Amino acid sequence: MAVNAAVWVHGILGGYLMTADFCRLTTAKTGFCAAVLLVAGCATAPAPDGALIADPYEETNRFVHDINKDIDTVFLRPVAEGYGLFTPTLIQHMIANGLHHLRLPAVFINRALQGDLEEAGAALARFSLNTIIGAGGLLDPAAEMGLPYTPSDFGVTLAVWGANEGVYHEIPFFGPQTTRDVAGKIGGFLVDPTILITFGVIDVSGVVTAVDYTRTALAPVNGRHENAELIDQLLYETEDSYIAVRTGYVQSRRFEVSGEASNDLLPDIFGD
Amino acid sequence: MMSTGMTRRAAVAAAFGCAVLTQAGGAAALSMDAAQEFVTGLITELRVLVQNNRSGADGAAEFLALLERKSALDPVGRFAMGRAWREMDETQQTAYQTAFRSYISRTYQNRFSEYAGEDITIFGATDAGQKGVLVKSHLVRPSSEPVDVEWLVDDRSGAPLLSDILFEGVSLAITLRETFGGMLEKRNGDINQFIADLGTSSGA
Repeated sequence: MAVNAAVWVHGILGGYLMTADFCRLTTAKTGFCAAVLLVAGCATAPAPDGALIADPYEETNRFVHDINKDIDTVFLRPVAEGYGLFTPTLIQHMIANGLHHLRLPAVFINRALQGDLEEAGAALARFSLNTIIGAGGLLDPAAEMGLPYTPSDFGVTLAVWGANEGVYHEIPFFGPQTTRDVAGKIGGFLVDPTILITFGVIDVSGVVTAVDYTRTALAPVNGRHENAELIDQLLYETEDSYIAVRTGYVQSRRFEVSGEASNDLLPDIFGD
Repeated sequence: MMSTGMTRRAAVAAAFGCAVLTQAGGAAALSMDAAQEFVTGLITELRVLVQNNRSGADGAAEFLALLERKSALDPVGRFAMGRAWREMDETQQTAYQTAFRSYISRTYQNRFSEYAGEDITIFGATDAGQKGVLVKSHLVRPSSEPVDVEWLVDDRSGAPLLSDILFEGVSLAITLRETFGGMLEKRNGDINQFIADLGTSSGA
């Protein structure tokens, strides 16, 4: 059902416009992600004393943030609000289920790459169950059976492999990212089996492609709708929305990578 | 060979751990149970506050009174200023702590009341070393998956006090420090201006 706890904060905090699906299309069409990687790939810098993350490109990032926020204000937020108002709740649930379902092949592969066979097996079992007895993934009987949607992505895989987090970036349309997550977006596109649909290798007389495009269009709207309160608060009720987004994104992403709040991430209020 | 090494290391670690425990035991070693009990009590009080549906100035004052009793407001305030704390003189520090309290109560009173009808279940605790004990709970929301809420409790000031809350790994204390750092930078490091604005601002 609805959004998983692990993505509740990260999901859209992690890019109010960015979704893996959006990335897939953009990458396929323009090679945009690849260009970003070239720029970002060499960026590493230690965080200044006491700061959450190094932000050497703050000036550019803030410029991009303003653009992203404008896009949200004039386009994504109104569309998502309309979606919330005019789409029956049942349909909304089915759309959310379907979007999660189409992520599962990629989740399976990433879990396997992370060496987490238990989670890989869970993703596979969930995919099979919901495909067969969950109306092709529009319903979610697997969650009732103890197999809830647990997302993962190639950014997490890179972290498990020991890649450095890098520095902070805000990318047009994709929102907040760490250097490692930018690389994760591109790598994630390549390890997602549904790439075969995006490139037209697999299709059933246009049907599969149509689903793929619909998904690409719906994912950001669904994500914006599911996290509306959080995103509205971060973007429109803070004095400095750039810092609010950066702080929230970096922390929740680290939490997602470590799987729990590790002691290193906790503040020492008596320390310095 | 390896197992011997491991055993010896484990034994050393255990002995060291005991020494630390004995040392801390006399002063104040917060047990997992005590920390969980503390958070249970805190949640009950928060719930009562929220259910009375006190909004506006009265509600904020009650919320602040609860925080004064149950959380380490002074150290958290100091932590939130980061390195700038040491550049402030005593008058500024006092003025800041007052402004910090008014900021916190106004900002988070509303935030907490949003969780009014939702169930919080405590399901365990982990030792966070010198940072205290991390009590783990789930916030069950009607329409979505449970949210991880963690409570950092520590008793370095004598009694158990709340020193941080983490939602899905996002720490309130760290978020405050980043926010204040940004606000200060925006005011070109003008601490007096920052304190004045903090006292009237209610964003987060």
